[in-house]
Amino acid sequence: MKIKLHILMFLMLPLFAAPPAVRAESASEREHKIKAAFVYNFIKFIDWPQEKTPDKNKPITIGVVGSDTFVKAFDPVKNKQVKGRRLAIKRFGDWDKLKESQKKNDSAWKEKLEALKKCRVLFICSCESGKNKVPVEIIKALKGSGVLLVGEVPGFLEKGGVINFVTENKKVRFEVNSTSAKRNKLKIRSQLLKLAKRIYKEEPSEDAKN
Amino acid sequence: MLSVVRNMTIRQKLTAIIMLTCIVALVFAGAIFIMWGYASAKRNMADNLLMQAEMIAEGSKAAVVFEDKESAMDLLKTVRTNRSIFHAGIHTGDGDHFADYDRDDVDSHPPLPQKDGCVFGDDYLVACKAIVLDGEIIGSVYLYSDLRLLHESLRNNAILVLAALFVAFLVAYLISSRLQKVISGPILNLNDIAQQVTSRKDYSVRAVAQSNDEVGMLIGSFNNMLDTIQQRDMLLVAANENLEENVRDRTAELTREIEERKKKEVELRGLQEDLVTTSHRAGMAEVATDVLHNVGNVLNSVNVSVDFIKGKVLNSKVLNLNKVADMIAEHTDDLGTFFTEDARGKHIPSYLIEVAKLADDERTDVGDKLDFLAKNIEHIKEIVRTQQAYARVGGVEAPTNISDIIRDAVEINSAGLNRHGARVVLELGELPKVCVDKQRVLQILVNLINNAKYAATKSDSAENLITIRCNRCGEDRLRIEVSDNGVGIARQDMGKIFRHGYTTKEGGHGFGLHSGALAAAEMGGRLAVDSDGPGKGATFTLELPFNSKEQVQCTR
Repeated sequence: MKIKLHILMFLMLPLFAAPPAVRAESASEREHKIKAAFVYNFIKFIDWPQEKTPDKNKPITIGVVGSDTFVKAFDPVKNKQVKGRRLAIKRFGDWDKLKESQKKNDSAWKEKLEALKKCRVLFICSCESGKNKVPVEIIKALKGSGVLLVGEVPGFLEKGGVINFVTENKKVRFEVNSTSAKRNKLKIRSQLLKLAKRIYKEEPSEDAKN
Repeated sequence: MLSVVRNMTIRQKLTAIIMLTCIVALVFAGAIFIMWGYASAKRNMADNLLMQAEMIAEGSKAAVVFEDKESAMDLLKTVRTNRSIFHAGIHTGDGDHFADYDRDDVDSHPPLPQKDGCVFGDDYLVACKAIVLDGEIIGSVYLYSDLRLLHESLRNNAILVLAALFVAFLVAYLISSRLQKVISGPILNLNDIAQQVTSRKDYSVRAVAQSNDEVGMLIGSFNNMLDTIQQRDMLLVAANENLEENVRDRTAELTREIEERKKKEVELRGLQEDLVTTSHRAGMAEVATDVLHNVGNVLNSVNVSVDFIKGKVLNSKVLNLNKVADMIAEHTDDLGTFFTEDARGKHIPSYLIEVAKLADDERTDVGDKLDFLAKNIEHIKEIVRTQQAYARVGGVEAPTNISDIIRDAVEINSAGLNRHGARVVLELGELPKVCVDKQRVLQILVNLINNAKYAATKSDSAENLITIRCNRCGEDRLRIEVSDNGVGIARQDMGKIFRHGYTTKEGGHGFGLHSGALAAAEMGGRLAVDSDGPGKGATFTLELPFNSKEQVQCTR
């Protein structure tokens, strides 16, 4: 019976496979999904300080700065259980808009900043916009707030980000700024650190300079 | 097998027993040791492998979730230090191959296990551990180990046990060969002594008991036995030495004895002759008693006759003739007138006639008595003559009328019979003359009649009756029965009645019937008695052969 079922499923496989084949998942889409999974998994290897830990019944929030398409990449992990809590995804819209709001420095921005600070992880998507610029403003705004800042542009770590994705041989890897992590009171497990492509440590002078 | 055991010496048996015991114990212990060692080695191995799998599972979490295969491979490579592990692998949660490690010499590996834990295959051990991250199974680690070490440890243990067994065997042999002497030593020593005793016939040696156990007791018993044997042996040797001498002595003794015996034999022969003579004399004495008895019997009759004659003569009426003669002498002158006138004279002639008659009668009586007397005296003479005949040639048989003999016997006893008022009835049949020893038959009959008279007078019966019958009995025998109605004989006395010295008479000798029976037997006849019991009288029967001339001679 079981064998028959398997054969049936095997025969039906092309039917399921057909739509992706038609739509043809793009490389970036796949990359986004991997990154989303990575971000989700980072939570498991990183310990946040006590004050950042919300109540049991409240979800752990991942904030996403970027386009909707990227936010969609988080759908597989949405509402998953992590560290005994539900995982929530919060969209903060495009980086540019945030920047503008920050410049105004009005109440809307302050409200947004509070929301940003409440997130555990803030993933700042920059490839979509194609600018490949380091979101220095956001990094500065959230400096020492205990939020895990994850980026995907070169120089992200140098500007104070904690984890930065890099692509190597079409494989997604990451690097870590241990100083920044310490500053944000984040304890990154050695296993994760071991996998990091690079561990960046800020020079004290540079720190003082910033 | 049994015969092998039977043919073993005690020494070997003891050693074998001790060693067998040791080896069995050691093999048992060794087997347990090996089994326990194998089990614990297996458990240890499984534990270790599982621990290693756990460590890898722990360490590979990040690598798996972040799909860092290199890192996972690096981690897997750490198992290289354990050369037993020939394959290691990490699979992701959905069962995909994530990372592998194979020992250099391995190109294939057994199937995957289904669940966590350790499983022993035919020649491998696999440990499986799930990689769990935040409560979610994200993959599994598999470690395959070969059983080389396990087998090696098993082999080592076996070798160790075998070596220990071998050493223990040697030690047990050494110890047992030493210790068995404690038991076998005294026994072998005893055996040596026994052989010494057997070969040298030396019973003076003794075994020394070294212990107080059963062997010590055995040695004690053996020594006691030797003591006994030694004593017996000494006696035997002494006896042997003396034997020849003894034989010589004994031979001499025997020779002497034989000579003595011969001498004795000669003496005995002489004695026998003497004895024969003596007995002959004794027989004669017996016969003499017999004779005297018979003579006594006859003398009784003689006495009676003499008394009678004497009485007759003394009281004879003839004596009155003297008065008549005197009267006649007075009257010689006038005899005529006297015979005719005188009152007394007138009776004389008739008286004389009377006297003459009386005298005649008396003469006849006395004559008869004298005849009888003479007959009795003749009888005595006969008795004496018979005795003489006995002593010399034997009795004289003459053809005789048996009735005469019976009558004579009655006559001889008549005086006594008359005195006691006994009546004799004779019932004599017609018989031819027979040739018997008259005197002996007469004696027997006199005796029997005498006895019958005695018995009859002793009884209470009104009339003392004696009946004598004489008849033929068969072709050539006659039977004389003397019956009385006297006191009779008790049955228990029947046997004794012919015995010498047995009597019921006062003043009797117990000789009459005895000699009578002997005489009857000598004549070829027999004397028997019968009685219906005490008070019912008795009958004596004398049986004799007719022509007994030859018979008598035969019996003599």
